[in-house]
Amino acid sequence: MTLAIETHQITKLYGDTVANDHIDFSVIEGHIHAVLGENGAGKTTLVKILFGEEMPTEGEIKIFGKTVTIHNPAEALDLSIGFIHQHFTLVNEFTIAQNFALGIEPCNNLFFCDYDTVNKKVKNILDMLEMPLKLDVPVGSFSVEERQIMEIGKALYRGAQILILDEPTSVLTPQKIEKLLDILRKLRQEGKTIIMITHKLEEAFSIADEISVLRKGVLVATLPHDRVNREQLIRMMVGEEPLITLKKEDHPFGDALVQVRNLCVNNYDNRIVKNVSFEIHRGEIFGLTGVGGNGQAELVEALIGMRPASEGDIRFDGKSVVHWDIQKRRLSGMAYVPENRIERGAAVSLSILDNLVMGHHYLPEFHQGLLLKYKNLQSFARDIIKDFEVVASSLEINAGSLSGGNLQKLIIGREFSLNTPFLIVAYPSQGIDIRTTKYVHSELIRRRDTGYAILLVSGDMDEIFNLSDRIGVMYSGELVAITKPEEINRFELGQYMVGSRRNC
Amino acid sequence: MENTIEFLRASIRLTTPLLMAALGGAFMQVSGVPNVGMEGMMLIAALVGYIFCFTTGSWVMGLFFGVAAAVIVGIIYAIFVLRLKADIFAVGITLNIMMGGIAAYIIRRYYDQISILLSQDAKLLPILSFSFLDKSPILNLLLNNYSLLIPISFLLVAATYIVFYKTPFGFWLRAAGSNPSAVSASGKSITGIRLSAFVISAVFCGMAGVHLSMGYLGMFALSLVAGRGFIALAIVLFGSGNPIIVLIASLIFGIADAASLRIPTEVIPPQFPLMLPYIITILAIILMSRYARSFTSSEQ
Ligand SMILES: Nc1ncnc2c1ncn2[C@@H]1O[C@H](COP(=O)(O)OP(=O)(O)OP(=O)(O)O)[C@@H](O)[C@H]1O
Ligand SMILES: [Mg+2]
Repeated sequence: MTLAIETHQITKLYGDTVANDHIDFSVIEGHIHAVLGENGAGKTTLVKILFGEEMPTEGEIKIFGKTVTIHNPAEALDLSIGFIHQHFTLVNEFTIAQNFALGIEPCNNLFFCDYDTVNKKVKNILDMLEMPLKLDVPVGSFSVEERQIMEIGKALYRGAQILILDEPTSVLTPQKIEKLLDILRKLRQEGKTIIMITHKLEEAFSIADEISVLRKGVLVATLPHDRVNREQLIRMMVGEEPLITLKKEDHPFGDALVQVRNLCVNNYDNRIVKNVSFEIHRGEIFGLTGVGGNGQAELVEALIGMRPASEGDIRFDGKSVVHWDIQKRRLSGMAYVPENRIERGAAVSLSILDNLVMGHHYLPEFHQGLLLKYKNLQSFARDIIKDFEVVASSLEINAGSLSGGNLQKLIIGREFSLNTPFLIVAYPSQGIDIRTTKYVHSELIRRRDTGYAILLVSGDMDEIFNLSDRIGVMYSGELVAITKPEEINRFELGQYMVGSRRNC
Repeated sequence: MENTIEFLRASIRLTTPLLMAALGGAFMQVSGVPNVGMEGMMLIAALVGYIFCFTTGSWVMGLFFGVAAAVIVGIIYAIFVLRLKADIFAVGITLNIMMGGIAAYIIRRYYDQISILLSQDAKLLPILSFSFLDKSPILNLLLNNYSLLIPISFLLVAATYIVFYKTPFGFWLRAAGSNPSAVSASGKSITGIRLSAFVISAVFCGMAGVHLSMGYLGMFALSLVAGRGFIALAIVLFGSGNPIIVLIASLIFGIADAASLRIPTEVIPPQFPLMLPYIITILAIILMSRYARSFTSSEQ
């Protein structure tokens, strides 16, 4: 048994923040190693150090037994380490071969590249990944899932023996997650070593040989997957503090706050949302689900006013709002946690404070005439940070320097604190840890109990079943089912989602 | 007939400075950084080149030092943008204004001139004549006997095309523009790639400037660039850096430029033809942005 990776007392400081605190982390060659931990625990920092994107403040790294210093990604690639980022590192205009060979183009003379040999190698890799993709089209034309697997292919093309994946499943639908995990198992058979960061315990249990848990920069433990259970893992991740347990009681709904009638949404000539009608009552969580890309995103964008409705009506509190702009809708009582929080929900080059006050700044308590009341804004921002447990050293740092999950919490906190009667929440648990997920869920239920109308968009079955009062399923732009969680089981929900069944 | 030929020749002569600068601009554009400093690069190259061609009596020296001056500006531009992370538009525009000031200062302080520098000793860029074109009188009239950089500018279209789409360097450039993290993940340095784009861009703009003073006009004037750097930027944006589209757009502007000099002033007040290139620029940008929007949305 040889070790692919061994770190000795790795420490990383960002100013005063200790992101990694004397970590001794080792990964056995040919194994899958899952890394778990709460938001801001230091998982991404640790793997960035292994890939040379960050330099450790202290400590030593051994790769296949050899002590090395990794200054940049090029050196990590030379040591056969590949990193699959959460964002895509593919050039959409290029073909697969041009992407895979970027920076290491085989050139038979000074200038020109021989892509035939690249294509042969690419084809072998894609066959092994069971992805028969067209080789002569730009990668921009492939789906998100296909591009995710392409990223793995790219690392393999570059000769990676060690693959690092940072939350690879958080943007995938359940079916696609299974496919990805199968591919990883296959790569393990081929002898590759894999490190995977995830927030989902089930994934770790189903695939990993060893599981490591980080908490507040410290490596709490590394254990074989069969020597630990769910409860132990959670306790290691969150410490001794108990988790909130969800309690949702039946209660009567109020009147229909949001009424959608025959809504159609076009993207140029394509009809993406077809004739959708439903309503959401006060005191109700309406769970909207479906396989990604079946019109949920466009429906939500039309509700909040980011996209025009081409036909149909949206009534909010009795008034038709289809022709209102986003600000007018928000001021009349809507809040929105978007799906793509980093792109649409935050301005990463601005401070945390700026990000938190956006949308609140025109409320009367925060400005006097033309001037903002900074004291109020600051104490308001501090409250959100505390309630949603955003780990941040100050209000003035860039939102972009927060860990992935902490940025998500920030935006969720901002929109929740608007205290509007209607709340649209897309994929609330994406990228956030167990404890905060529980908090967000309990907040959603508390708001429902006090009479808010909530539209919950999610692909996570647990989330949909545990929170929704009614469930709507979208398939190919239509709302194919409206049902109650107690009236169906998961299998039936799955049938609705793939379009083999409908009830409206 | 004679008039038509003369008009076409003028169009070609006026196309070159735009084409050369825009091809240079394309190198930066495809790597993800628009070149807003082309106006200043052209102006300083035109001045320095002209001064060297009459002080040394050698057009080679003029060409070399003119281009070198533009490269220095390009490197300063790159340091501010790539290293100090300053805003690319702010630095570009500041450099343009500064080069105007420096040029005015130099001709005032050292040559005691207000806006124009003209010397009998200037050794201008050579005129190329190819004897094989003599056989066809029309082709000879139309295509022969141009100043050195004019045929070169058209050859550079092909060269740029090959570099962009056939060489590894071209792939890195385009990757840097399309998805910088693809470049850094593959272990290459974004800064290094963009720095070379700045330098190449400056060389091309330098040649465009040298052509204006040492080829087209045979003198230096503070107003000789006359917004061509910005028109070139519009051309680059219009073609999103594609050298073929850059060539077509440059020809259109070159023809418009030549036409603006030829419309009789009794028919239309002379100010209007002078506006022509700018009006076309604005129309082109409007059309392009509509095209770009429908393009990106269909991609989604
Ligand atoms: N560039 C940076 N500058 C300052 N602080 C940083 C920077 N990157 C990370 N941090 C801090 O280091 C800590 C660890 O962050 P890291 O991204 O490793 O967390 P993580 O475990 O990946 O969390 P998540 O699950 O939310 O992605 C956090 O407190 C974060 O705010
Ligand atoms: Mg992370």
